[in-house]
Amino acid sequence: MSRFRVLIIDDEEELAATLVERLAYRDIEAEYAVDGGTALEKISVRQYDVVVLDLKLPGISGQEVLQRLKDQYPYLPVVLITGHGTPNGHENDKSESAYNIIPKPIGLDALIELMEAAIKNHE
Amino acid sequence: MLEQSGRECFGSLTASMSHELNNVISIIDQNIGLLNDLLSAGNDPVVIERSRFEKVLTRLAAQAERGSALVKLLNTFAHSVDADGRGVNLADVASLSQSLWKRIAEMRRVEIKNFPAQGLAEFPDLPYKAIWALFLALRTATEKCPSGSTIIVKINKTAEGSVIIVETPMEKDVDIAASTELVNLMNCLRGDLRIRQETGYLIQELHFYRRE
Repeated sequence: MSRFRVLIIDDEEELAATLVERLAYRDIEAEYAVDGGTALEKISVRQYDVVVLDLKLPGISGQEVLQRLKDQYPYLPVVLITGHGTPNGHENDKSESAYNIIPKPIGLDALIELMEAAIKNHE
Repeated sequence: MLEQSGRECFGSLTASMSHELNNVISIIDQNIGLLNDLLSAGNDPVVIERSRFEKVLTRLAAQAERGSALVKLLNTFAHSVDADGRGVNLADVASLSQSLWKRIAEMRRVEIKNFPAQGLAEFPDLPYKAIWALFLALRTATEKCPSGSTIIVKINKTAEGSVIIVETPMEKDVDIAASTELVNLMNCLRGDLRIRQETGYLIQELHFYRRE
């Protein structure tokens, strides 16, 4: 039985697919979407415990996806991925949702910790 | 103001490339992690399914190649401020700009296409300044065109020098005023910017003149 279910939203498919594989080794059920439209569609038909979202997405931007998630699924925890070395510049993203930010390259253990903390905060 | 525009061009293009490189490193990092997971999952001697191992190797090789191409691109861009006394071929500038713009264009869901150059079109200054001028024209283009558009870049030799033509599909009633930064830069380069609207396209022509 999996510990929780996560949707990874990142346009780098090789990265998302590898993360999904690695999370499976840790009993975490993961799926991925490479754009915002597909992600929102997936979220509308399946329940996830947490979403991991890259802020830089083609088409519907990560910020826009985040806004829609906040509006439509306020209880769904979100962990943000940023390509910047530090989370600087995303201070405005902090809100009542209390989501977390992880820089790329992603440390898997740190990501799992953040996801677990985000889920716990939303319980 | 012109200096700030130059910094913006440099900042946007290098940020885009560093973001790409970060993605390459991330994929390599995760696939090394995956190999470790595969090793840790089995007993001694370790047996890894051949197809899984090959998949990871293929990913690593592809990212090494992608990273190498990005570093080469970054290096060419870095050297675009060097004056080596040779003439600057605008077709090379267009090709370099197309690569530099790849990620930015993808993010905005547009495509930039270069047409083969008509004759050897030379630019009378540092390559960076041509990249900068084209950056400003492409920035205007990507801001004005609808998502899914293809922006065409043409390079031509003219009787007086050379021209870069940027053709952008646009919806009606879009403001076609030139960006102030591009006007200032073209003045500084002693060039000439001509903008017009033609059957659903915004046409930006950047004319450069030979210097005696």
